[in-house]
Amino acid sequence: MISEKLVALIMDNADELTQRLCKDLLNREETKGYKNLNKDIVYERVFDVYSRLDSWLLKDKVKGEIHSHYTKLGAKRFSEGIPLNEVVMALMLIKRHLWLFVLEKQFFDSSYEFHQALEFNNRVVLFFDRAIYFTTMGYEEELRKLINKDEGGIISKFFK
Amino acid sequence: MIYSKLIKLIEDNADELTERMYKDLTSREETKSYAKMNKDIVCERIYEVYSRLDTWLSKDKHKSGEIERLYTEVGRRRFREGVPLHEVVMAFMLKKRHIWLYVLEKHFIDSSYELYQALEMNNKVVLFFDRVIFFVTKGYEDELRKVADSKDKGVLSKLLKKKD
Repeated sequence: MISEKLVALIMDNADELTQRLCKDLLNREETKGYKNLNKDIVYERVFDVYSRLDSWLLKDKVKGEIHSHYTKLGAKRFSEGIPLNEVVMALMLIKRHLWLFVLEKQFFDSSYEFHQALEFNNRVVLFFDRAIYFTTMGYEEELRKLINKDEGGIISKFFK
Repeated sequence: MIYSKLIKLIEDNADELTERMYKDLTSREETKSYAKMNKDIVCERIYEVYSRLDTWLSKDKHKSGEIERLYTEVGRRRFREGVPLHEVVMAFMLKKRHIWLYVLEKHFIDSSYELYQALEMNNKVVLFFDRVIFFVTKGYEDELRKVADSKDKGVLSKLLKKKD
């Protein structure tokens, strides 16, 4: 099946993809917060997504597992002081590079292959939508905890 | 061209799509704040995207900075309305998802050429909503930071200060 073939393409080239993504991430104004992080850690986090893509996409990862992983990620980014919009952009870039790589390396010919490519594309989009949603949720939760610790000022009224 | 045909399908059926999207948005736990908002206002916002999809997907809209300006402001407004950011993000994701579900439902895509065009449309839609979500998040955070800086000079503002 081509979607499995595409997943394998990403996983087999996870290192190259990660290098490309890191270069992009660390050069963009929209993700400048990542420059303050250790490069090896950034690499490791990105590599984890690409190298285990099948685990995230094809092996029916339960929504709860994505929830758990990415809310924790959101909380972590908050504690690292990276603005949420930069975290969101980083996840979008990971998704975008994945698809650009597929377009670069894979030639789609038959309508069957195109169908599979469309299916793959939609699975990737759905996975990253969930990742971004739960990361945002986790980040906000940490923010709310901090606000509630504060003296119940104006901010807490907004998040009640 | 099938791409234009698919865009027209969405624009011509913006009313129906808006109703569907509104129903979904207001019945989900993940977007419960929207159930408390005025229906006309919510529907107007949804309809605006579906009815002018071609305009929103064009490169000019992004290059001119219009998407940035409009959606940064949307983020600010949602903050002031007290809607949690993750609900706002989910709302835009649903808006995007309904476009594609509608295309799959109404249009049978068959040949390689049609599938290629459908893939192109899908990617343009994804890119547009990625930009929207990014700018909405930015606007929302900007407002949060202003409030944090003006009222609560404690741990929160230190944490959200940019590491320059």
